[in-house]
Amino acid sequence: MSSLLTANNLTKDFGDKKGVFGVNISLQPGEIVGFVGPNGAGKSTAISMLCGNIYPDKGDIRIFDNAVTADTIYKIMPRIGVLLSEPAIELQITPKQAFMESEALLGKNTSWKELSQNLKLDIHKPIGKLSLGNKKKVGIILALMHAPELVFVDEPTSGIDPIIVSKFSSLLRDVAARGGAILLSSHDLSEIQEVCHRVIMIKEGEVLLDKPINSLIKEAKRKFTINNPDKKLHDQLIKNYGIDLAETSIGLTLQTQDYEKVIDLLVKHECYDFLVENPSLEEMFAEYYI
Amino acid sequence: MKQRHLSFMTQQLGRNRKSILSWSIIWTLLGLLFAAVFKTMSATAEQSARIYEALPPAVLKAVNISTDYLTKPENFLSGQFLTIYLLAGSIFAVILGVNAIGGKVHDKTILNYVTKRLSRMSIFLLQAAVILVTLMVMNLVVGITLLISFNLFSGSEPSLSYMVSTFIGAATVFITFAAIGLIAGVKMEKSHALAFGSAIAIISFFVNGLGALAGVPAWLQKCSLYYYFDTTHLRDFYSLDARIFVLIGLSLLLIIAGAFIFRRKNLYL
Repeated sequence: MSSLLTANNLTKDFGDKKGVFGVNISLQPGEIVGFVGPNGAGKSTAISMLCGNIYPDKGDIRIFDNAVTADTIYKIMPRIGVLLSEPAIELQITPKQAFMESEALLGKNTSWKELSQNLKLDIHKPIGKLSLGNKKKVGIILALMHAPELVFVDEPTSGIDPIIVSKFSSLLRDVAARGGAILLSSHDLSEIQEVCHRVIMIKEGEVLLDKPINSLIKEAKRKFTINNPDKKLHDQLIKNYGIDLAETSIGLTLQTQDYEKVIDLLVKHECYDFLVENPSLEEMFAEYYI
Repeated sequence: MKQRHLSFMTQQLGRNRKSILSWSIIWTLLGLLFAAVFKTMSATAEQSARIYEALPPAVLKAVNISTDYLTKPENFLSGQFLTIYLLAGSIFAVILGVNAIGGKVHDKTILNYVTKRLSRMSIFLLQAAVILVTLMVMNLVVGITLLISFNLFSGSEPSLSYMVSTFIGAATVFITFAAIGLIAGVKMEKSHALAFGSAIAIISFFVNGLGALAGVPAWLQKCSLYYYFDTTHLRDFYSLDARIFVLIGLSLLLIIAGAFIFRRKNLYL
């Protein structure tokens, strides 16, 4: 299956080691890819290059099998949705006006009425008088109303309530289910873990990691909380996993990738008072955010 | 022109609706005032003419007044009215030009357009067309208002050929300043662009006045954009001087250059 988007060696150097350097990104049909990294890592710059707002210094971008530049991307814009962290809409007009105008500029029928009802948006109030959450809803509808096949999303859900977050996630899944792809940049790693199939970690302008979330979780250390182990088990655990162990008031905690071996050991010692936790992306990526 | 281009123009013209309305109301009121003033002053035209004859001709030229400026509405309009109107309109045109692209980059709403099926080139050129239409409409409203108010108040209205030439000349000046605003808005921060464009209008205005004074080198006046809309020629012949083509050429050049600069501009949003 061919990629919906391929970006090779994307580079934008702002000097002073700031920018994006040799980034490769590909999005397959049906895929939701999380794009994470600390502030200033280069996420927004990379997304701006992909959606044609910034010209890269180096690198090439192919979308829907067409080589595109900031100058030619408009031809395929009706197939692309862009949602920025701050809604970039004129404040004096109403959402209804914004949607109708966008529909006219896209040159195709859209589903803004259904989406407005779904997200419970007041379409008659000037956008400037809407709350931040409702402004974000306007942005979400503008990005998704034309059923795009490729969606770029930058910090979509900060400031909106959990019900709308859940509806938004469901809308993204719909895009993927139709064979589309989404690049979702967010600091909310629980949202990324819940929605995305794959995650790309970027730091100081370079991609540090690009892996499916399932394999990340599989490879990650699991956290065991073992309550009241007997002396033999306690000694055995210390012998095997000394440096990964921590004593608590009622037992031990242990972080390891060898979780099957630990479970075997616990069962062998007839210790059933334990808890195993999968690590969250927050825990896995904590070191990158330092 | 495609349907989406037409939609874009209609949307943007709608955004300028309030500007057109407020401009028209202000200048309608001023037009009425000028017509009333002309009626009152023309009753004492002879005394006024004697005062003006006592002044040095260069000073009168610098402030664009002829000694017989109260004898005909054309002379009166070519004096104070056109002088104020050109300066105010130029600054207004700069604001329109800067807001068309620079303002949208500043408040990030440009993203709403560059993520649609519109090339950057067409966004820029359509915005230039919207400004052109806006300025034409504003000028037309002021022109019609002046004709009506002079007819109502003074009983003698300016000739149609004078009004048409004034309309075309003033619109050309405004379009030139709007083009300066457009290109400045693409190249600079919004506030810098506004200051830059307005400064050009104000400096041009004073340089044009200064250049008419005796002893000031002639080339200085040629540095002013207002020099290329010769209101003296307009007053005397009711037609435009060929110099207006300099402004038309400059506007076209600035708009084309601005479109190419905007095409290559990085939009950091």
